[in-house]
Amino acid sequence: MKPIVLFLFMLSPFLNHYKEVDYLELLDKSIYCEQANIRMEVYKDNKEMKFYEMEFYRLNEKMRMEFTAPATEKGRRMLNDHSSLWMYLPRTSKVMKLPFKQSFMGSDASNSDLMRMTFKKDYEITNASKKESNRIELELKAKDREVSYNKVLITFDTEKKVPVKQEMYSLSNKLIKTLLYDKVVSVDGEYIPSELTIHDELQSNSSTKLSYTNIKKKGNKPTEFFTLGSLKK
Amino acid sequence: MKNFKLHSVLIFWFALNNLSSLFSQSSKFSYQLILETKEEYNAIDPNSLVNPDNILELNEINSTTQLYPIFTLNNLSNGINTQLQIEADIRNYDFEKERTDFFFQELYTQFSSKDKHYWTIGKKRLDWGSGMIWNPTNFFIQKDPLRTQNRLEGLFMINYTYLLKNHAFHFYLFPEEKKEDCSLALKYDFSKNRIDAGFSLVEYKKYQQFGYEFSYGGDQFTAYSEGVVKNYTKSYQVNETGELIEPNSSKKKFRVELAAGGMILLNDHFTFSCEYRFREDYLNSKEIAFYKAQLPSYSVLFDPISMGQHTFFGSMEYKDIYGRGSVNVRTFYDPVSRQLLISPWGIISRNNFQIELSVLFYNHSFAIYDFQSSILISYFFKTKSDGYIHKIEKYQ
Repeated sequence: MKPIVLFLFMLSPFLNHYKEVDYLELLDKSIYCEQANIRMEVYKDNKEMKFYEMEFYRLNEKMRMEFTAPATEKGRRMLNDHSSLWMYLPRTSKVMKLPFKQSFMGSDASNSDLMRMTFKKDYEITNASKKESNRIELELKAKDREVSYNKVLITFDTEKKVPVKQEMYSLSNKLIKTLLYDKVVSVDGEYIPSELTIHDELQSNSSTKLSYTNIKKKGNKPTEFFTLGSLKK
Repeated sequence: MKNFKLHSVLIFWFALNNLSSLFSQSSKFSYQLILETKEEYNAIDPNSLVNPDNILELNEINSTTQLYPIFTLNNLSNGINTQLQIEADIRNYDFEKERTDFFFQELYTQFSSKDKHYWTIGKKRLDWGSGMIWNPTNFFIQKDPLRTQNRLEGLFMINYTYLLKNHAFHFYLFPEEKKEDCSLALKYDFSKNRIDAGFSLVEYKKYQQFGYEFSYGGDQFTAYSEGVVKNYTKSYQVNETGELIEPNSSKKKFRVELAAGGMILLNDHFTFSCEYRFREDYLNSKEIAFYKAQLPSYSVLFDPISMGQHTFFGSMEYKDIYGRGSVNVRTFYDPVSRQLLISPWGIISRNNFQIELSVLFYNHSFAIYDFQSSILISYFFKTKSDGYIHKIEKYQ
């Protein structure tokens, strides 16, 4: 009995710390920026299959992307207001609604992977364990079945307060995707990973790399910019 | 009138630009040049009821080349944005004899304040409707159901849009030379909890149209519908005694037109889409029989996809996820006229060009062609994005 009590006593400072620190909020904050330029490269067997360049805008849970390259995609826009996802096609000046689970522009990410990234709203922490001196691993469970991934394992850098690795699991506990966060940069005094690599574990030898530049934590776009009406303008 | 419209846009743009340049922070421009060339081979059916022995003198081989120069000029000052958008179309084709046309697809000035208020004057595409193939609410512009990605020609309009978080209000005036030919439209859009809905009212010359549109987006699927009640028609009709009736020559009777459809992701590669359209002002089975009996003299009424009141569309698409290609089989079926059209279609896209291959197989007694095949190559020249043409600090 005594060793168990001793073990719990030793663990208690960490558990208290885990309860005191809102890691989900830290996670959301660490990857949150309101403006950036993104270059997305899709690789198969280490060969670049395609790339896209986008202007990225965000306001809380709403996101908008405007494609600037390649030339065949220039002018295309995407909008997520957290409940719906639309794509604007400049050739026809029309918008079409997209399902969230569709692959994002033929990459390893689904639309919801990139256009719906809010941990605090969708997940709760079920376990936390210390990995290294400045790393902890968080186990997250989806709050409801509408969330794309039932379980998420995150390795978090407690010093820079940024995620390092993220593993997403299905309901049957199968690893679906792995996300690696890299090239941490300082923006307005806060750290943010400027490179994200997504591996679809169900596909062999494929990956999608997103590189962020001109990152701004605070943007200047109003709520109306993230509406369907504005997307068509 | 055309000159008046062109001048109106340019005067509006320069007036706004000069006014705002007093407080100008920056102007930026971008341009794009797209070259499209389409080669068609048409296998003409000599036994067609509409075109027996090719009396319409249609070509077996057609060639069209189109060049689209697109320019966008933006001026931002103190939260007020003025934009000049120009999309021209230089078209060379040889349907009857070789000719070249030039016209503006879009030419408009847009003035916006705080991303909330938008004023537009000029020729612009009307973006109404939630339907993928058919848009009954879009009363002026009907896209080609066989190539929904075509760049359509805009309409001359004066438009004011007021955007709110979940609502949008639109007011349109479509000026014409004669005051009585002008059209007015009002539209209200609403978005919340995965649902978008819109209601529209159009006063089109002396006619009216009331419309709705709706769409829902789920994780794996989308669903939509749009429809109108209108008291005008652009279709020729056949009356109960078999006579041909010109559009709008009958009384202002209200008729219904609607479309409903959806898209479902079957897996990472396959997507199934379908759509249904109902048009009250098209032919019923009795009128189709009259129409058939009067061919080829009633050929003005011919629609290669559907002449009946009901049309179904289905499509199965296979997408190469990591590549940039897709293959699609589209089917149109009209159970009233029994028109069936099956069209395999493929697209390969690269950074600067796209190649589209399509074949249309017709299986009905009055089809003009046994099949049609085409190759469309689009080349996107290197673009210039957001180049700053000047930068003047306020009151410098």
